[in-house]
Amino acid sequence: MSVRTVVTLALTALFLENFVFTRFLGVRAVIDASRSLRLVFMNGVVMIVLVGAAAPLVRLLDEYLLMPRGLEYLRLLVSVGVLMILSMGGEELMRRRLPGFYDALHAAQPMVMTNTAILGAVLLANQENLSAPQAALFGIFGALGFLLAALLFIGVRERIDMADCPGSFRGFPIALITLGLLSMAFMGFTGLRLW
Amino acid sequence: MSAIRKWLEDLGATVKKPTAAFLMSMCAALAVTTRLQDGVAIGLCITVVLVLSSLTISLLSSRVPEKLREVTVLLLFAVYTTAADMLLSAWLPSQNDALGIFLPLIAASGSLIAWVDRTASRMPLRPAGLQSALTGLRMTAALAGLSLLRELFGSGTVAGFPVFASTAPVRLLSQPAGGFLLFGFLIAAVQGAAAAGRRKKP
Repeated sequence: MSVRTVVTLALTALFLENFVFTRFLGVRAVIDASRSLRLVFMNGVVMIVLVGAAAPLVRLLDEYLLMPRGLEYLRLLVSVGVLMILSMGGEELMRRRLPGFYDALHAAQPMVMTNTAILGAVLLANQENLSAPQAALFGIFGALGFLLAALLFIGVRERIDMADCPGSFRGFPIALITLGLLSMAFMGFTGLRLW
Repeated sequence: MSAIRKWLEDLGATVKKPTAAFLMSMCAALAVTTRLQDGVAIGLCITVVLVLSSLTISLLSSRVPEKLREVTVLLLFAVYTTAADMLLSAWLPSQNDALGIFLPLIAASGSLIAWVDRTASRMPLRPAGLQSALTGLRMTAALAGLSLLRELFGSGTVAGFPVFASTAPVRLLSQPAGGFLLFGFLIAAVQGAAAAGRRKKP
């Protein structure tokens, strides 16, 4: 894999096709995590590790186990299963071996299985037929893109909470409109030619 | 004007607490609300998955240990989403392609899974089926309305048929940013109408 491929993957995942702003993936998780900066970072770390591991694993299982036997329709079940085993197994392992890490991270655990960005990243890597190392990078950069979106959002959210916003917009609607405006800012990256 | 207001108030009155959570789980489906048929298709798929999982967990809940129930619901969602995916790709392959990864993503819709896990599993068969069907159809209606507005004003067509002779009036609406903004304003309208309705009859 050349440096060029890596840089392209990174810039695409972070800016051009950011999961949150261009694909609506993980919107709920971004809004839920914006309660505290700590929760945002926890979610980001969990997502980087989980997707970085799950995306290449699912890709390998797909290529060597499902495809040769014509079982492509089991892809979703396999992806969900792998994510479930990795997240629950990882949690149990951390609880026994690294209790410090466990205490720091386990608050983000319930949000893992319902974060559409995590399952979405695994499915997208599979759909685009990336090789296993490429899938790992795609997952990691996608998760970093999610972290970037969540950091931008929490920055705005802190100011919204202090602003006097109309009653019917309070809560979810204003969060969506904020994301819409951020997404408009990200539209500025479309058409950017990398090379 | 008053008819629209009345309709909005009725809609707002039906948006009780659980439904507010369902609105949030529509986020992932927002990506495919740029054409009317896509919005309707994803809404119907969500309904089918939701109803079947609610019925199954309502039947199984006495036999599944409490600890394993969440995992069971997650797997049920994955199984029924796979089934919906296969059916759609057999009957309407082009529609299946249009939905892309957003159809399998139903398996990760958080608030629906939480609702099935906590509420539907404690209900008898019939109310579980009815409630989930109603919720699913309400979501389908909301998604259909959203995609109608986005398609009409974003690309100037309705279900693919051109409506405006010249170019589309608001191109932004067919972009992701327009989806976020429109969805935010629609929920604000519904919440505002609900609040107005509450003020009127204390």
